[in-house]
Amino acid sequence: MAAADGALRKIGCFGLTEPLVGSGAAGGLLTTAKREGHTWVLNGQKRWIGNSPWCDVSVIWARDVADNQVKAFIVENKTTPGFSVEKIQNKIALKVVQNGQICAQGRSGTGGKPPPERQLVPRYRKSVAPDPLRRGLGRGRMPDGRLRARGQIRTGAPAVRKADRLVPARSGPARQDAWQRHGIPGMVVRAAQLEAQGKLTDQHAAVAKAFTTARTRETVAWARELLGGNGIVADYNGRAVLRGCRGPLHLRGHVSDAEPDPRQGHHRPRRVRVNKTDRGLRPDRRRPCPP
Amino acid sequence: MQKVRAFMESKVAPIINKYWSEDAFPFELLPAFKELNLGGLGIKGYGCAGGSQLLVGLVGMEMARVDCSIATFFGVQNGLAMESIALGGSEEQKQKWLPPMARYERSAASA
Repeated sequence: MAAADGALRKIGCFGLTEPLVGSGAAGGLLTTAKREGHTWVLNGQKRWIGNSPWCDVSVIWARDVADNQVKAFIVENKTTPGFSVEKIQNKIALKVVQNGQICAQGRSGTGGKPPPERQLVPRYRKSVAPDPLRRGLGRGRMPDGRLRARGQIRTGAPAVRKADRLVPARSGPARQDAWQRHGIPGMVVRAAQLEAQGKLTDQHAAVAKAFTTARTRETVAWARELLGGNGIVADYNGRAVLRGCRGPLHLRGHVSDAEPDPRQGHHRPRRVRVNKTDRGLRPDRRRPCPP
Repeated sequence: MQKVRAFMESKVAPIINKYWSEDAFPFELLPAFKELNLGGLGIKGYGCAGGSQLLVGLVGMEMARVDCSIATFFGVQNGLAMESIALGGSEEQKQKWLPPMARYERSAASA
């Protein structure tokens, strides 16, 4: 795979989420960073870090014990002593992505050299806020939009007559279709516009992500229902062409990848954060919870 | 966008179920992935592809249309890891990391 001209090939990951506090950057991160001479020493665990079992470089978020601020550190996975990654096995969703549990104990840089790590992004929120928006687009929402669920499943057979539709035209699927076609894209495109204008706030991002994830989970549930038993067969995705689809619709990707996605857990904390902010209260400070 | 769609439909769709069932990442796809020249999409300079955040989202959408995992791989590399460095890294760190991370897309042209 290495290029003939010696060009590097570097793959990265992003280590925020922890086993005990989730994505608790707002206040709960337990991983610590301590400056010792020219190096930083990181201690703690990260979980659900996509790409981490095989990538080259990690952006690790940790709390600086000196000032209690959460900062980001660049860590070279393969050359840093005390840095280990264990692949999370037996996932039932997003199975292609290799998620890892990271254990960092000890030095994150070699002694004597200038520090390869330094404070990265104190403005954490600003950098992360737009991300859910891109995720909202990128998490398979739009293919759901092609689920024109009018109750007519086209699997090579002629479309059924209106009276024989499996699902009434104006029931859940039709509503989901509207969300997927208009509601979700409209929200994320508008958010991208706000971001371009420098007007995007953390609350915008949180609402957009909460909305898109909740609607998508509803949609995949309907997709599963429409397909009946075949909804749980991975090989069936190519056949799962619903009316209005322009290409194969990967129901496998929808039904199983969207529903138990660990990131869906962001939904409720984000709602809480927004609600508190709207009431003029301090944004949510996540507390450790039992695994 | 059309290149991404073509890549996802012609290269990813036929094989991704096998990898999904085996909990494996399709490393065989990386050379073709790199040829899309998406490295550092949305980031200016440092050998990155540039473009708007809306474009980043639309590209992710096209990927997710066929496979959510590929979209996640791209999102982690491009949006989370590279953008963190681009936003908060020192000049030295940007020079060190962003070009090779962006080039991962391009190096495949000779791989």
